[in-house]
Amino acid sequence: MEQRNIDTLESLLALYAQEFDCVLMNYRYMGMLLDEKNVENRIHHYEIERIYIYGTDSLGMQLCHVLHDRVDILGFVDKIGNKKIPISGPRIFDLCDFEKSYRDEYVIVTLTKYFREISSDLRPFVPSEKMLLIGEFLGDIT
Amino acid sequence: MLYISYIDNPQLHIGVWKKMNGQLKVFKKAFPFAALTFVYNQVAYLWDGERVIEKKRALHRKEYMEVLESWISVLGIRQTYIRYFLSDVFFIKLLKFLQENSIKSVVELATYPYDNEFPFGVRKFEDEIYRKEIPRYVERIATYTKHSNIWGIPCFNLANGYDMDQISVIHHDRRKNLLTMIAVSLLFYWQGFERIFEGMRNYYNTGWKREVNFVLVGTGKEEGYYKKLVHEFFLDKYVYFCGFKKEKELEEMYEKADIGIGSLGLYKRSDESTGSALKVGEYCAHGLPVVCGYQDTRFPKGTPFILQVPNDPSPLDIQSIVDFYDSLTQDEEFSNKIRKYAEEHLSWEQIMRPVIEYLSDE
Repeated sequence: MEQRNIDTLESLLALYAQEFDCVLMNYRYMGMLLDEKNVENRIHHYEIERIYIYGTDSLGMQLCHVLHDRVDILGFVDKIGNKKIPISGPRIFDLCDFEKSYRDEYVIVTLTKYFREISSDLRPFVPSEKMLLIGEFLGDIT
Repeated sequence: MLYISYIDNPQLHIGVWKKMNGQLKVFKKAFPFAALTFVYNQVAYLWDGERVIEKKRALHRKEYMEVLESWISVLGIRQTYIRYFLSDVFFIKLLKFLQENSIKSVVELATYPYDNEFPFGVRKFEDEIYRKEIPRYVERIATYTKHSNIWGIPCFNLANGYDMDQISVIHHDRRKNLLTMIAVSLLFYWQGFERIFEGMRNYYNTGWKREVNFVLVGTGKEEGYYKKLVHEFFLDKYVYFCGFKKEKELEEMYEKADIGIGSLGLYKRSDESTGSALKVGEYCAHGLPVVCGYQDTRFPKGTPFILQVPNDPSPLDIQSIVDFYDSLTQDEEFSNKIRKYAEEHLSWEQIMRPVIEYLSDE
Protein backbone atom coordinates (compact mmCIF):
# COMPACT_ATOMS: atom_id res chain seq x y z
CA MET A 1 0.00 0.00 0.00
CA GLU A 2 2.77 2.37 1.01
CA GLN A 3 4.74 1.55 -2.14
CA ARG A 4 1.63 2.28 -4.21
CA ASN A 5 1.31 5.68 -2.53
CA ILE A 6 4.95 6.46 -3.27
CA ASP A 7 4.50 5.44 -6.91
CA THR A 8 1.41 7.62 -7.17
CA LEU A 9 3.20 10.59 -5.66
CA GLU A 10 6.12 10.03 -8.00
CA SER A 11 3.85 9.90 -11.05
CA LEU A 12 1.97 12.98 -9.90
CA LEU A 13 5.16 14.94 -9.35
CA ALA A 14 6.52 13.82 -12.71
CA LEU A 15 3.34 14.94 -14.45
CA TYR A 16 3.33 18.17 -12.54
CA ALA A 17 6.95 18.80 -13.52
CA GLN A 18 6.12 18.43 -17.20
CA GLU A 19 3.08 20.72 -16.97
CA PHE A 20 4.96 23.25 -14.87
CA ASP A 21 7.93 23.40 -17.23
CA CYS A 22 5.73 24.03 -20.26
CA VAL A 23 3.62 26.68 -18.52
CA LEU A 24 6.76 28.40 -17.26
CA MET A 25 8.16 28.51 -20.76
CA ASN A 26 4.93 29.96 -22.12
CA TYR A 27 5.30 32.86 -19.69
CA ARG A 28 8.83 33.38 -20.89
CA TYR A 29 7.78 33.37 -24.53
CA MET A 30 5.00 35.87 -23.85
CA GLY A 31 7.67 38.15 -22.43
CA MET A 32 10.09 37.52 -25.27
CA LEU A 33 7.40 38.44 -27.79
CA LEU A 34 7.43 41.96 -26.36
CA ASP A 35 11.03 42.40 -27.47
CA GLU A 36 10.30 43.68 -30.96
CA LYS A 37 13.94 44.08 -31.92
CA ASN A 38 14.59 40.44 -31.16
CA VAL A 39 11.49 39.39 -33.10
CA GLU A 40 12.75 41.39 -36.11
CA ASN A 41 16.17 39.78 -35.83
CA ARG A 42 14.71 36.31 -35.64
CA ILE A 43 12.54 36.89 -38.72
CA HIS A 44 15.71 37.88 -40.60
CA HIS A 45 17.60 34.95 -39.11
CA TYR A 46 15.14 32.44 -40.55
CA GLU A 47 14.41 34.61 -43.60
CA ILE A 48 10.71 34.21 -42.92
CA GLU A 49 8.24 35.77 -45.32
CA ARG A 50 5.17 33.58 -44.85
CA ILE A 51 4.19 31.40 -41.92
CA TYR A 52 1.53 29.24 -40.38
CA ILE A 53 0.97 29.33 -36.63
CA TYR A 54 0.13 25.96 -35.09
CA GLY A 55 -1.91 26.74 -31.99
CA THR A 56 -4.90 28.95 -31.34
CA ASP A 57 -4.03 29.43 -27.70
CA SER A 58 -3.15 32.81 -26.21
CA LEU A 59 0.51 32.39 -27.16
CA GLY A 60 -0.52 31.70 -30.76
CA MET A 61 -2.66 34.83 -30.80
CA GLN A 62 0.08 36.93 -29.26
CA LEU A 63 2.52 35.64 -31.87
CA CYS A 64 0.04 36.56 -34.58
CA HIS A 65 -0.37 40.02 -33.09
CA VAL A 66 3.39 40.59 -33.04
CA LEU A 67 4.06 39.19 -36.51
CA HIS A 68 1.09 40.37 -38.55
CA ASP A 69 2.78 43.60 -39.72
CA ARG A 70 6.06 41.89 -40.41
CA VAL A 71 5.30 38.66 -42.25
CA ASP A 72 2.45 37.15 -44.19
CA ILE A 73 0.48 34.97 -41.76
CA LEU A 74 -1.22 32.36 -43.92
CA GLY A 75 -3.33 30.98 -41.10
CA PHE A 76 -3.64 29.20 -37.83
CA VAL A 77 -3.56 25.44 -37.71
CA ASP A 78 -5.67 23.47 -35.28
CA LYS A 79 -6.03 19.72 -35.45
CA ILE A 80 -9.80 19.85 -35.57
CA GLY A 81 -10.13 23.38 -36.85
CA ASN A 82 -13.07 24.41 -34.72
CA LYS A 83 -11.34 26.82 -32.31
CA LYS A 84 -12.84 30.28 -32.15
CA ILE A 85 -10.41 33.13 -32.23
CA PRO A 86 -11.92 36.26 -30.72
CA ILE A 87 -10.29 38.57 -33.26
CA SER A 88 -10.82 38.99 -36.93
CA GLY A 89 -7.73 37.42 -38.28
CA PRO A 90 -6.24 34.67 -40.36
CA ARG A 91 -8.19 31.59 -41.26
CA ILE A 92 -8.04 28.48 -39.08
CA PHE A 93 -7.11 25.32 -40.95
CA ASP A 94 -7.85 21.84 -39.79
CA LEU A 95 -5.12 19.32 -40.44
CA CYS A 96 -6.66 18.05 -43.67
CA ASP A 97 -7.09 21.50 -45.23
CA PHE A 98 -3.68 22.54 -43.98
CA GLU A 99 -2.02 19.64 -45.79
CA LYS A 100 -3.72 20.67 -49.02
CA SER A 101 -2.66 24.32 -48.68
CA TYR A 102 0.85 23.84 -47.32
CA ARG A 103 3.70 24.95 -49.66
CA ASP A 104 6.98 24.60 -47.75
CA GLU A 105 6.41 27.57 -45.42
CA TYR A 106 7.60 27.73 -41.81
CA VAL A 107 5.18 26.44 -39.17
CA ILE A 108 5.68 27.89 -35.70
CA VAL A 109 4.21 25.68 -32.99
CA THR A 110 2.99 27.50 -29.89
CA LEU A 111 1.42 24.51 -28.14
CA THR A 112 4.74 23.39 -26.71
CA LYS A 113 3.19 20.78 -24.43
CA TYR A 114 1.85 18.85 -27.41
CA PHE A 115 4.82 19.41 -29.68
CA ARG A 116 5.68 15.71 -29.98
CA GLU A 117 2.16 14.78 -31.12
CA ILE A 118 1.95 17.80 -33.41
CA SER A 119 5.27 17.11 -35.06
CA SER A 120 4.24 13.53 -35.65
CA ASP A 121 1.02 14.74 -37.34
CA LEU A 122 2.93 17.24 -39.50
CA ARG A 123 5.97 15.12 -40.34
CA PRO A 124 4.39 13.45 -43.42
CA PHE A 125 4.18 16.76 -45.29
CA VAL A 126 6.14 19.44 -43.37
CA PRO A 127 9.94 19.16 -43.56
CA SER A 128 11.47 19.01 -40.06
CA GLU A 129 13.58 22.13 -40.67
CA LYS A 130 10.40 24.07 -41.41
CA MET A 131 8.80 23.11 -38.08
CA LEU A 132 9.80 25.47 -35.29
CA LEU A 133 8.97 25.48 -31.61
CA ILE A 134 8.12 29.02 -30.63
CA GLY A 135 11.15 28.99 -28.33
CA GLU A 136 13.46 28.12 -31.21
CA PHE A 137 11.96 30.91 -33.24
CA LEU A 138 12.50 33.41 -30.40
CA GLY A 139 16.08 32.51 -29.59
CA ASP A 140 18.78 29.91 -29.87
CA ILE A 141 22.48 29.46 -29.32
CA THR A 142 24.56 29.18 -32.46
CA MET B 1 33.58 13.46 -20.13
CA LEU B 2 30.29 15.32 -19.91
CA TYR B 3 29.72 18.49 -17.89
CA ILE B 4 25.99 18.49 -17.21
CA SER B 5 24.34 21.75 -16.26
CA TYR B 6 20.75 22.79 -15.74
CA ILE B 7 21.39 26.41 -16.58
CA ASP B 8 18.60 27.81 -18.71
CA ASN B 9 19.62 30.67 -20.98
CA PRO B 10 23.37 31.21 -20.62
CA GLN B 11 23.04 34.72 -22.04
CA LEU B 12 21.30 35.78 -18.84
CA HIS B 13 23.85 34.23 -16.48
CA ILE B 14 27.10 35.66 -17.79
CA GLY B 15 29.09 34.95 -14.60
CA VAL B 16 27.97 31.32 -14.38
CA TRP B 17 28.51 30.85 -18.10
CA LYS B 18 32.06 32.20 -17.86
CA LYS B 19 32.75 29.95 -14.89
CA MET B 20 31.41 26.80 -16.56
CA ASN B 21 33.41 27.50 -19.69
CA GLY B 22 36.54 28.00 -17.57
CA GLN B 23 35.97 24.59 -15.97
CA LEU B 24 35.15 23.01 -19.33
CA LYS B 25 38.46 24.21 -20.76
CA VAL B 26 40.27 22.35 -17.98
CA PHE B 27 38.20 19.20 -18.55
CA LYS B 28 39.05 19.38 -22.24
CA LYS B 29 42.75 19.35 -21.42
CA ALA B 30 42.35 16.42 -19.03
CA PHE B 31 40.07 14.13 -21.03
CA PRO B 32 40.07 13.06 -24.68
CA PHE B 33 36.54 14.44 -25.03
CA ALA B 34 34.68 16.96 -22.89
CA ALA B 35 31.53 18.94 -23.58
CA LEU B 36 29.02 20.98 -21.64
CA THR B 37 25.25 20.57 -21.74
CA PHE B 38 22.62 23.19 -21.02
CA VAL B 39 19.08 24.08 -22.04
CA TYR B 40 17.69 27.14 -23.73
CA ASN B 41 14.09 27.63 -24.84
CA GLN B 42 13.27 23.91 -24.64
CA VAL B 43 16.31 22.86 -26.62
CA ALA B 44 19.20 20.91 -25.07
CA TYR B 45 22.66 21.89 -26.29
CA LEU B 46 25.93 20.00 -26.39
CA TRP B 47 28.63 22.67 -26.36
CA ASP B 48 32.36 22.16 -26.77
CA GLY B 49 33.42 25.58 -25.49
CA GLU B 50 33.40 27.26 -28.86
CA ARG B 51 30.56 25.80 -30.84
CA VAL B 52 27.38 23.78 -30.58
CA ILE B 53 28.16 20.13 -31.36
CA GLU B 54 24.54 19.01 -31.30
CA LYS B 55 21.14 20.18 -30.15
CA LYS B 56 17.94 18.32 -29.42
CA ARG B 57 14.51 19.43 -28.36
CA ALA B 58 13.85 18.90 -24.67
CA LEU B 59 10.40 20.21 -23.84
CA HIS B 60 10.67 19.56 -20.11
CA ARG B 61 12.92 18.00 -17.46
CA LYS B 62 12.04 14.44 -18.38
CA GLU B 63 13.05 14.96 -21.98
CA TYR B 64 16.28 16.69 -20.92
CA MET B 65 17.15 13.63 -18.84
CA GLU B 66 16.45 11.40 -21.84
CA VAL B 67 18.62 13.58 -24.08
CA LEU B 68 21.45 13.44 -21.54
CA GLU B 69 21.21 9.67 -21.31
CA SER B 70 21.31 9.34 -25.08
CA TRP B 71 24.38 11.61 -25.37
CA ILE B 72 26.11 9.68 -22.59
CA SER B 73 25.50 6.39 -24.38
CA VAL B 74 26.27 7.53 -27.91
CA LEU B 75 29.45 9.42 -26.94
CA GLY B 76 30.71 6.65 -24.68
CA ILE B 77 30.95 9.01 -21.70
CA ARG B 78 32.81 7.58 -18.68
CA GLN B 79 32.80 10.62 -16.37
CA THR B 80 30.31 13.38 -15.58
CA TYR B 81 30.55 16.59 -13.62
CA ILE B 82 27.07 17.82 -12.72
CA ARG B 83 26.27 21.38 -11.73
CA TYR B 84 23.40 20.76 -9.34
CA PHE B 85 20.21 22.76 -9.53
CA LEU B 86 17.50 21.01 -7.49
CA SER B 87 16.47 17.40 -7.07
CA ASP B 88 13.47 15.88 -8.73
CA VAL B 89 12.47 12.45 -9.92
CA PHE B 90 14.32 12.89 -13.21
CA PHE B 91 17.54 14.02 -11.59
CA ILE B 92 17.52 10.95 -9.37
CA LYS B 93 16.79 8.74 -12.38
CA LEU B 94 19.77 10.26 -14.14
CA LEU B 95 22.02 9.59 -11.13
CA LYS B 96 20.75 6.02 -11.04
CA PHE B 97 21.50 5.64 -14.75
CA LEU B 98 25.05 6.93 -14.17
CA GLN B 99 25.61 4.52 -11.31
CA GLU B 100 24.21 1.54 -13.20
CA ASN B 101 26.55 2.31 -16.07
CA SER B 102 29.57 2.78 -13.75
CA ILE B 103 30.03 6.38 -14.86
CA LYS B 104 32.14 8.25 -12.37
CA SER B 105 30.46 11.46 -11.30
CA VAL B 106 30.93 14.53 -9.15
CA VAL B 107 27.99 16.76 -8.27
CA GLU B 108 28.82 20.44 -7.80
CA LEU B 109 26.75 22.44 -5.32
CA ALA B 110 27.41 26.03 -6.31
CA THR B 111 25.46 27.18 -3.25
CA TYR B 112 24.99 25.33 0.03
CA PRO B 113 22.86 25.47 2.06
CA TYR B 114 20.37 26.69 -0.52
CA ASP B 115 17.01 26.30 1.23
CA ASN B 116 16.57 30.03 1.78
CA GLU B 117 16.96 30.70 -1.91
CA PHE B 118 13.77 28.77 -2.62
CA PRO B 119 11.50 29.63 0.31
CA PHE B 120 8.38 27.88 -1.04
CA GLY B 121 6.82 26.16 -4.01
CA VAL B 122 6.51 22.70 -5.45
CA ARG B 123 10.13 22.68 -6.66
CA LYS B 124 11.20 23.02 -3.04
CA PHE B 125 8.81 20.25 -2.06
CA GLU B 126 10.18 17.99 -4.81
CA ASP B 127 13.72 18.80 -3.79
CA GLU B 128 13.08 17.96 -0.16
CA ILE B 129 11.67 14.59 -1.17
CA TYR B 130 14.27 13.57 -3.72
CA ARG B 131 17.53 15.00 -2.41
CA LYS B 132 17.42 12.39 0.33
CA GLU B 133 18.16 9.83 -2.37
CA ILE B 134 21.31 11.53 -3.64
CA PRO B 135 23.69 9.72 -1.22
CA ARG B 136 22.59 6.38 -2.72
CA TYR B 137 24.04 7.37 -6.08
CA VAL B 138 26.73 10.00 -5.55
CA GLU B 139 30.15 9.45 -4.02
CA ARG B 140 31.64 12.94 -4.27
CA ILE B 141 30.33 16.48 -4.06
CA ALA B 142 32.20 19.64 -5.06
CA THR B 143 31.35 22.72 -3.04
CA TYR B 144 32.58 26.27 -2.56
CA THR B 145 32.01 26.09 1.18
CA LYS B 146 34.18 24.56 3.88
CA HIS B 147 31.92 21.51 4.45
CA SER B 148 33.91 18.29 4.54
CA ASN B 149 30.76 16.38 3.73
CA ILE B 150 27.24 17.23 2.63
CA TRP B 151 24.36 14.75 3.06
CA GLY B 152 27.03 12.34 4.27
CA ILE B 153 28.94 12.57 0.97
CA PRO B 154 32.63 13.62 1.08
CA CYS B 155 33.32 17.00 -0.53
CA PHE B 156 35.95 18.64 -2.68
CA ASN B 157 36.30 22.18 -1.38
CA LEU B 158 36.69 24.42 -4.40
CA ALA B 159 37.20 28.15 -4.74
CA ASN B 160 36.07 30.31 -7.62
CA GLY B 161 38.67 30.10 -10.34
CA TYR B 162 39.63 32.09 -13.41
CA ASP B 163 40.45 31.40 -17.01
CA MET B 164 43.84 33.08 -17.10
CA ASP B 165 43.91 33.10 -20.91
CA GLN B 166 41.02 35.56 -20.83
CA ILE B 167 42.61 38.00 -18.37
CA SER B 168 45.64 40.11 -19.24
CA VAL B 169 48.06 41.49 -16.70
CA ILE B 170 48.02 45.28 -16.25
CA HIS B 171 51.39 46.98 -16.52
CA HIS B 172 51.48 50.16 -14.53
CA ASP B 173 52.97 53.52 -15.27
CA ARG B 174 54.41 54.19 -11.86
CA ARG B 175 55.79 57.61 -12.75
CA LYS B 176 52.39 59.19 -12.94
CA ASN B 177 51.23 61.37 -10.11
CA LEU B 178 47.86 59.70 -9.96
CA LEU B 179 46.63 56.59 -8.22
CA THR B 180 43.43 54.97 -9.45
CA MET B 181 41.45 52.54 -7.32
CA ILE B 182 38.87 50.33 -9.03
CA ALA B 183 35.91 48.37 -7.69
CA VAL B 184 34.16 46.02 -10.10
CA SER B 185 31.05 44.87 -8.30
CA LEU B 186 27.36 45.12 -7.73
CA LEU B 187 26.74 48.07 -5.45
CA PHE B 188 25.15 46.45 -2.43
CA TYR B 189 25.32 47.58 1.18
CA TRP B 190 27.97 45.03 2.14
CA GLN B 191 30.47 46.64 -0.24
CA GLY B 192 30.86 49.38 2.37
CA PHE B 193 32.33 51.83 -0.12
CA GLU B 194 31.18 54.75 2.06
CA ARG B 195 34.34 53.98 4.04
CA ILE B 196 36.41 54.91 0.97
CA PHE B 197 34.44 58.10 0.35
CA GLU B 198 34.89 59.20 3.97
CA GLY B 199 38.57 58.33 3.70
CA MET B 200 38.91 60.34 0.50
CA ARG B 201 37.18 63.30 2.10
CA ASN B 202 39.69 63.19 4.96
CA TYR B 203 42.56 62.77 2.51
CA TYR B 204 41.58 65.74 0.37
CA ASN B 205 40.96 67.89 3.46
CA THR B 206 44.58 67.47 4.56
CA GLY B 207 47.83 68.11 2.75
CA TRP B 208 47.55 65.50 0.01
CA LYS B 209 50.41 65.03 -2.43
CA ARG B 210 49.08 62.60 -4.99
CA GLU B 211 45.75 62.61 -6.72
CA VAL B 212 43.72 59.51 -5.85
CA ASN B 213 40.70 58.49 -7.93
CA PHE B 214 38.11 55.82 -7.41
CA VAL B 215 36.36 54.13 -10.34
CA LEU B 216 33.22 52.08 -9.63
CA VAL B 217 32.19 49.61 -12.31
CA GLY B 218 28.75 48.14 -11.69
CA THR B 219 25.36 49.20 -10.49
CA GLY B 220 23.11 48.29 -7.60
CA LYS B 221 20.81 49.46 -4.86
CA GLU B 222 23.45 51.59 -3.13
CA GLU B 223 24.34 53.59 -6.23
CA GLY B 224 22.08 56.51 -5.35
CA TYR B 225 23.36 56.62 -1.78
CA TYR B 226 26.98 56.45 -2.93
CA LYS B 227 26.47 59.23 -5.48
CA LYS B 228 24.86 61.40 -2.81
CA LEU B 229 27.82 60.89 -0.47
CA VAL B 230 30.33 61.64 -3.22
CA HIS B 231 28.54 64.90 -3.97
CA GLU B 232 28.24 65.86 -0.30
CA PHE B 233 31.94 65.19 0.25
CA PHE B 234 32.93 67.27 -2.85
CA LEU B 235 34.49 64.23 -4.48
CA ASP B 236 32.73 64.44 -7.87
CA LYS B 237 36.09 65.20 -9.48
CA TYR B 238 37.69 62.08 -8.10
CA VAL B 239 35.00 59.38 -8.13
CA TYR B 240 33.60 57.90 -11.35
CA PHE B 241 30.47 55.77 -11.60
CA CYS B 242 30.80 53.85 -14.85
CA GLY B 243 27.82 51.52 -14.65
CA PHE B 244 27.87 47.94 -15.84
CA LYS B 245 30.75 47.05 -18.19
CA LYS B 246 31.79 43.77 -19.69
CA GLU B 247 34.43 42.23 -21.88
CA LYS B 248 36.47 44.82 -23.86
CA GLU B 249 35.01 47.83 -22.05
CA LEU B 250 35.73 46.24 -18.69
CA GLU B 251 39.29 45.46 -19.70
CA GLU B 252 39.73 49.11 -20.70
CA MET B 253 38.66 50.10 -17.19
CA TYR B 254 41.14 47.68 -15.67
CA GLU B 255 43.94 49.15 -17.77
CA LYS B 256 43.50 52.48 -16.01
CA ALA B 257 43.57 50.94 -12.54
CA ASP B 258 46.39 50.64 -10.00
CA ILE B 259 44.62 48.99 -7.05
CA GLY B 260 41.53 46.80 -6.76
CA ILE B 261 39.04 47.35 -3.97
CA GLY B 262 37.29 44.37 -2.42
CA SER B 263 34.27 44.44 -0.12
CA LEU B 264 34.68 46.70 2.89
CA GLY B 265 31.35 46.14 4.59
CA LEU B 266 31.14 42.44 5.33
CA TYR B 267 30.79 43.31 9.01
CA LYS B 268 27.22 44.39 8.14
CA ARG B 269 26.31 40.81 7.21
CA SER B 270 26.16 39.05 10.57
CA ASP B 271 29.65 38.04 11.69
CA GLU B 272 31.19 37.36 8.33
CA SER B 273 34.90 38.11 8.25
CA THR B 274 36.08 35.71 5.56
CA GLY B 275 35.18 35.26 1.91
CA SER B 276 36.44 34.52 -1.58
CA ALA B 277 34.71 37.05 -3.81
CA LEU B 278 35.13 36.67 -7.54
CA LYS B 279 36.33 40.22 -7.98
CA VAL B 280 39.33 39.98 -5.64
CA GLY B 281 40.67 37.02 -7.60
CA GLU B 282 40.06 38.91 -10.80
CA TYR B 283 42.10 41.90 -9.54
CA CYS B 284 44.86 39.48 -8.65
CA ALA B 285 44.73 37.83 -12.08
CA HIS B 286 45.17 41.30 -13.59
CA GLY B 287 48.27 41.77 -11.44
CA LEU B 288 46.64 44.44 -9.28
CA PRO B 289 47.26 44.84 -5.53
CA VAL B 290 44.09 44.62 -3.46
CA VAL B 291 42.54 46.45 -0.53
CA CYS B 292 40.07 44.26 1.28
CA GLY B 293 37.99 44.44 4.46
CA TYR B 294 37.97 40.72 5.21
CA GLN B 295 40.23 37.70 5.20
CA ASP B 296 40.09 36.23 1.71
CA THR B 297 40.47 32.49 2.21
CA ARG B 298 42.49 32.09 -0.99
CA PHE B 299 45.35 34.25 0.28
CA PRO B 300 47.36 33.43 3.41
CA LYS B 301 47.50 36.10 6.09
CA GLY B 302 50.30 38.54 5.39
CA THR B 303 50.16 38.17 1.59
CA PRO B 304 52.20 41.22 0.60
CA PHE B 305 49.95 42.47 -2.19
CA ILE B 306 46.77 42.37 -0.08
CA LEU B 307 46.16 45.28 2.26
CA GLN B 308 43.65 44.02 4.76
CA VAL B 309 41.83 46.85 6.52
CA PRO B 310 39.65 46.45 9.63
CA ASN B 311 36.26 44.84 9.10
CA ASP B 312 34.36 47.76 10.68
CA PRO B 313 32.78 51.08 9.62
CA SER B 314 35.91 53.23 10.11
CA PRO B 315 36.96 55.47 7.19
CA LEU B 316 39.90 54.16 5.17
CA ASP B 317 43.25 55.86 5.56
CA ILE B 318 43.93 56.77 1.94
CA GLN B 319 47.52 57.85 2.64
CA SER B 320 48.24 54.34 3.94
CA ILE B 321 46.88 52.92 0.66
CA VAL B 322 49.21 55.25 -1.26
CA ASP B 323 52.13 54.13 0.92
CA PHE B 324 51.16 50.46 0.45
CA TYR B 325 51.16 50.95 -3.31
CA ASP B 326 54.49 52.81 -3.29
CA SER B 327 56.20 50.16 -1.22
CA LEU B 328 54.93 47.39 -3.52
CA THR B 329 56.01 49.19 -6.66
CA GLN B 330 59.62 49.33 -5.48
CA ASP B 331 59.71 45.91 -7.05
CA GLU B 332 59.56 46.31 -10.84
CA GLU B 333 58.13 42.82 -11.18
CA PHE B 334 55.30 43.20 -8.69
CA SER B 335 52.47 42.88 -11.26
CA ASN B 336 53.96 39.72 -12.71
CA LYS B 337 54.40 38.29 -9.22
CA ILE B 338 50.75 38.92 -8.33
CA ARG B 339 49.72 37.38 -11.62
CA LYS B 340 51.97 34.36 -10.95
CA TYR B 341 50.23 33.85 -7.61
CA ALA B 342 46.89 33.86 -9.43
CA GLU B 343 48.11 31.35 -12.00
CA GLU B 344 49.40 29.04 -9.28
CA HIS B 345 46.46 29.29 -6.91
CA LEU B 346 43.39 30.73 -8.63
CA SER B 347 43.35 29.25 -12.11
CA TRP B 348 40.67 26.67 -12.83
CA GLU B 349 43.46 24.33 -13.77
CA GLN B 350 44.76 24.33 -10.19
CA ILE B 351 41.37 24.46 -8.51
CA MET B 352 39.86 21.57 -10.45
CA ARG B 353 42.94 19.35 -10.11
CA PRO B 354 41.57 17.15 -7.25
CA VAL B 355 38.26 16.71 -9.10
CA ILE B 356 40.08 15.71 -12.27
CA GLU B 357 42.33 13.31 -10.39
CA TYR B 358 39.26 11.70 -8.83
CA LEU B 359 37.40 11.43 -12.13
CA SER B 360 40.46 10.12 -13.95
CA ASP B 361 41.17 7.44 -11.38
CA GLU B 362 39.91 4.12 -12.72
